Amino acid sequence: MKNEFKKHIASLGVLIVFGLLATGSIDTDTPSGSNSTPTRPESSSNKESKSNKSIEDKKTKEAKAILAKRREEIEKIQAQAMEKEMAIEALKTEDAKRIKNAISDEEKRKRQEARTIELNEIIKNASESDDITKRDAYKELYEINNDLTFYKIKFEQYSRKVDEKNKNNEKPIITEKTTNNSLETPKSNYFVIEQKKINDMPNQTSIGIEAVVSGSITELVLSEILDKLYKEAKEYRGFKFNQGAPTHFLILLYNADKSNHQLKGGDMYIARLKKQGVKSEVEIEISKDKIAQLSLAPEDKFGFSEEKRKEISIEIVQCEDRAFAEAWQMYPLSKDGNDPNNEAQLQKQQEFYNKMKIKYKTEIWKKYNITKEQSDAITSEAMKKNWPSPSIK
Amino acid sequence: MLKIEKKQTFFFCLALISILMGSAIYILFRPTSLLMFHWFDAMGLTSLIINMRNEMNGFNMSLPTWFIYSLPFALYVVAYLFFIKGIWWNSISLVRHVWFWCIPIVAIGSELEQSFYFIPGYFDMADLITILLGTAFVVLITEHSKINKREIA
Repeated sequence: MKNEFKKHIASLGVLIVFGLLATGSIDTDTPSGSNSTPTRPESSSNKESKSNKSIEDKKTKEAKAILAKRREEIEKIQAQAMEKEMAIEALKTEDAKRIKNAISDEEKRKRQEARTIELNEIIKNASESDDITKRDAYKELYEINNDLTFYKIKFEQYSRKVDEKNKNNEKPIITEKTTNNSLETPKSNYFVIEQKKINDMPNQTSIGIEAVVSGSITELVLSEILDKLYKEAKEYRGFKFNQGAPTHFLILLYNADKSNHQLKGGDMYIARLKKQGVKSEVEIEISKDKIAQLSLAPEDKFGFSEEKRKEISIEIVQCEDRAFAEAWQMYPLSKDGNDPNNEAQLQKQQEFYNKMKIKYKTEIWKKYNITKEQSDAITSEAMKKNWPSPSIK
Repeated sequence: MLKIEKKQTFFFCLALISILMGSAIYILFRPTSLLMFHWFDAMGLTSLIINMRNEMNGFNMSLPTWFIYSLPFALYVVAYLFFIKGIWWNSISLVRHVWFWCIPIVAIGSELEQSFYFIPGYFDMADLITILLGTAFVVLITEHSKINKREIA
């Protein structure tokens, strides 16, 4: 009996040891850690499948992490590019403001003086019968020097004369300058749309002229117009530095859109004359591609005339502008460039922009019953042919 | 003092070998999330265990899953059974059967209960088979010893 008791005690000891060992083998990571069976609480098949699943999960997680990282990098690059674009735009605006501000009253006065002299020269050289030139010159003189009633009187006097001539069935007034390179080719007109002194500094006095050309546009015509404008620009005086004469020239010619006469900007010019410094040579650049595009007869595409396609392209650009403006409004950036929130805001802005752009574009596609590919084709055609863009508000 | 026979010593030795083998598998190949590793850590044995596991690094890849995840517990059960058989050797008390069968029944029962979701955990056929085979192995060994004993007698 005593022996049996000892055996019970020993058995109990063994059971306790077994219990300890079993408890020690409980996996604390499994949710069923309190499982009465302390072995791994999964079936072999489950183990394998779970093992495979865990490998898959791991791979998926890794792939997702890589994707997220890439996406983050792309977004970062996009944001940086956007930031740069915005910075460039800001610089451009600042530059434009700076140029505007640079033209001080004193400079304006000097320019007025120079122009007055020039106009007086024009009047002097004009033939006696050329009342139109005189009238226009006096008109400009009166506008420049509005305190001088003399010019006003003269302007009114020549205006009356011109009116009288018109009444006598004389030829209509043509204000645009014309050039005719040969007897066979039709006339081309051009008019100067902007003529401004860009800079007047001790080492550089630059002048910029922008003109719109219409009619028959050929390389020869453009080079002639450039030459003519360059010669005219060379004659400008009244600058403070460099003996009052310009040293740098930039003349840009644009094509006048016949439909709306909308002016193109940036690198949309069809011809350019550049001279950088007194000693440098005149560089002329004429875009043959753009001239070729102008000569092409308009054709129908996707069931739309060229005019209609132009409208569509404008609407597409407008919808992009709208999406961009809304994105800016929705997620504005802090003026502090070092604000850490800006990056997140930019990301949100980009996402919102993309979302809204697609939304608005879809509306256009539905409106004109065109596909995305057709819309893209119209956009690239617009870029290729330098179609007018909507004016930036 | 109880007189320990050769057979009993043999059973105890088998039990110890089983415990050592089972523990070795747990320590060397099982994830360190097991509770026993917390205890080892408390005892300051972590570095020793890490060194041992590093020595075995890669070896566990060649071992079958059942060997790592099912065999150790079955070896514990085997060890328990050998100990009980050794303790209750030559006894005719019926209680010895209670001591002997309580663990295999609980272990097998809990596995089966898991298969029917009566208790939490995942049912593992390999666990069940290893426990059954371990129990059968002990029964076979002990019964064989009894037959030999009778034959000798």
